[in-house]
Amino acid sequence: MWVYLLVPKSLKNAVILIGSCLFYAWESPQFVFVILTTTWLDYHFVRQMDKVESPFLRKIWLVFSLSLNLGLLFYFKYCNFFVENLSEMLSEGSGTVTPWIKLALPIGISFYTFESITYVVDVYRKIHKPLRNFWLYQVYIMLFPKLIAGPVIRYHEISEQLTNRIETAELRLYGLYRFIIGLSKKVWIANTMAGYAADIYSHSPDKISTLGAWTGALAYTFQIYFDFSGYSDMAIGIGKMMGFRFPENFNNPYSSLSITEFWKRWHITLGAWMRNYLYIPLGGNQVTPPYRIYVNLMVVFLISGFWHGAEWAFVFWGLYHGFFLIVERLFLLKILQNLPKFVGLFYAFLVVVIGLVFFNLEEIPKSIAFLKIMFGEGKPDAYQSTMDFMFLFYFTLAFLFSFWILLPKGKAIQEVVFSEKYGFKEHVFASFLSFIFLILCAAKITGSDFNPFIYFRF
Amino acid sequence: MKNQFQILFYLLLTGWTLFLVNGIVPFYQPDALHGAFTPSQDTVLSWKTWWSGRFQKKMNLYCNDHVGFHPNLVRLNNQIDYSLFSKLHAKSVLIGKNGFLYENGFNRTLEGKDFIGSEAMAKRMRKLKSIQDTLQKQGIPLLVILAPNKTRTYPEFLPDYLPLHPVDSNNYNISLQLLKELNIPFMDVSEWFVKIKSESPYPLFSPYGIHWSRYGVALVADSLTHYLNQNGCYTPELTYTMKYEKDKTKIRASSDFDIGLGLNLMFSIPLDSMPYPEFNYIHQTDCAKSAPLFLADSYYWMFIYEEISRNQFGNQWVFWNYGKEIWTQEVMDKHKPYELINNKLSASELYKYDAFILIISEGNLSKFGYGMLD
Repeated sequence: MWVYLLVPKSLKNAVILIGSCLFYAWESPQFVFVILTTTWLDYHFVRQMDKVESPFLRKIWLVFSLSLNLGLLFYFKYCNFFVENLSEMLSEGSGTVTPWIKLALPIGISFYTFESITYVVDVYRKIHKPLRNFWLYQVYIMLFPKLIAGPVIRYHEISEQLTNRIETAELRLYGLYRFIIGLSKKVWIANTMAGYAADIYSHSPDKISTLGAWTGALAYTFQIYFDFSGYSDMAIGIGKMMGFRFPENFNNPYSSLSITEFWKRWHITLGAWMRNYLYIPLGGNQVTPPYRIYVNLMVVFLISGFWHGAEWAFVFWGLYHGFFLIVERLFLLKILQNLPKFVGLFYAFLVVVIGLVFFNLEEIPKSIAFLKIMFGEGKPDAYQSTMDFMFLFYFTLAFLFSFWILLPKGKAIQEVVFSEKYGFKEHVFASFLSFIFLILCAAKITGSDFNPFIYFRF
Repeated sequence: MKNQFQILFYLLLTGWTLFLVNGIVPFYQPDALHGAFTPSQDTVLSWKTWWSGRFQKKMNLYCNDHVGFHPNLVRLNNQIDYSLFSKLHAKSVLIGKNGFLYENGFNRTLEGKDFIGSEAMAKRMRKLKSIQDTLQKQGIPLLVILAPNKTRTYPEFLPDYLPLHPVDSNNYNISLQLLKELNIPFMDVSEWFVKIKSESPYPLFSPYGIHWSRYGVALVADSLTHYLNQNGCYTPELTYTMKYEKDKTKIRASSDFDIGLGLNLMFSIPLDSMPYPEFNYIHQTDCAKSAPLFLADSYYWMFIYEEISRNQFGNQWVFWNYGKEIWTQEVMDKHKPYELINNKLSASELYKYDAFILIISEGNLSKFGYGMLD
């Protein structure tokens, strides 16, 4: 950050790019060349597409680019899945399994592939002109805060900021506050919930009690939200410190009153991508016969599930959400609107919690066994996790921060915290709090890895 | 206003940067952490280590352990978890009622989770019996001291979420049975402490220590003296008077606070004054002090710290720590490096000593003999 702040404006993008390459190479050294090569090819494909006039040739270049992006995504993310399933099918007859060396997954591939697609498709749709500078395209794709876990940013949302962003000290302060909020969510709530969730999920379902299963399921539900939204907050915060305005990715999803609303609040940028680059091209709501809308929805959610992971459980998870969305469109939403709010809230949250069991366990039979325990098949004397004060404390915090927007006071607090209309006094107070939280987070990160063996001293 | 925002931002960023700077060029050195802990070592960057991800993995660990103010950050985290949630970050330590600290392994042992099986234990005991027979012919006494177990002595302070389920088939019960059957002399301090704890005028374990309290060690030392003197050895008679130590710094520096120290908290746990023995030795100058060999675990350290070894055995005692390290009075006094044990027990080796005493705590019974009996 110091380097970025100290260099002249003309070198800031270079600093970002070098930093992003180092960041990616740190986590995924083998694949930094893959991402650099594909972005180079993509950039040139799009340039060629823009140069030609013929719609047919434009389409050809579009297909080239999409094939490259989706081909790589398919190869790295889904090959293992398809080969394993195919091998399993074939082995049922012959009893032999096809040998296959598992491929490693380049980190962030799902995110940057989708971003590349937005660039290619939007140029094809003539929403914006292609970039004339390859390095700017690299900055857009590799921008480190959002490279690994989003938000998924459409090119046109950020195109202006790549060359001409407004950087003010006040915006940097807001960015820093946002970063600390995200870090605190991740370090304090998500990591703590993760410990309890992992403890429960590490047991075979027949070894845990009903209360234990609910504890694990709820802990995981809060873990995934605070983990993912915390990361998004950190990305948005770092972006702001460098003058970028990334789109919001979460908006209190667990306080949704239906699954339809949930998907407007959860992973918002992925939802927007799916809508703009999949649902609308499939015909969106303007399709005949009208039932095709449901087919389109199922296709979108199937792909959304598959995007999350190459496992049948993710496919099921996507279809499961798609199913509830369709049921809501058919009749449920109308019924829910006529019922007290808490019914919708309870229903939507329950659907999400159950869905996340599949998401976490990644195996359908295991997930069903776990759900059976949750819904009454657990033995009361079986393992139910240590529901100590620490769990209750962080669980309450997670619960409060997930649902507080439903209360007028909670909503007011949230609006103040994220308002970006601070006076100097508010800034001083927020800076002080940020520093305290930074120290607390640093203590938690550092301290959690320090587990000395006292007995070795003797 | 713009400048004020600028100042605030740079102040925050500087505060942040201080963690890095103090890690690289320490301008402030906090007190080191207590407990056995191996910080990650620096690593060498090469194409191979980077490509395989080994460099990054090691570097991440290294940075975590060497970030500026690392001990303070660890203590802050430990303090928050201890004060708010009664959670500890020291491995294998658990907190019970009234802040009583236990070593986790002893529950496992009571519940037979480390039980090595009757036959394996019998094999080791038979070997010990044959050693005892050999030594007896030379007039060298052998004694097994079963050191006490804090969990067994004070189960009432265990946390409610951790009910004990002791089983019959555990290393302690089988050892006891075999010691009786084979007629090997032993002192069952574990059982003894359970019997006397309700009438004991002083605590047998400190709330924040792993090992027997200083009063507890005085009781054992007294009994050991009698045993040795009744079996052909000479050690000065030992008496003691109990006095309450009010200096908390001394208590914190003592073995009565050995787990407490390892918790690495920001603020020390409030302590009550502890009763400590003041020893008096009645030495008959015409008698030469015996030279015993102690094959023991960490329970023996209290004999050394309390100067019982020096006063009762002079410079002649030898302590084989876990059967791996050789400690003597000379090593202690001159801060010399201890030697490592290379050989198993042999008759010629044992004949050098006037007595052979094996001290073993319940948690270590699965390692009975510390691999030396073969």
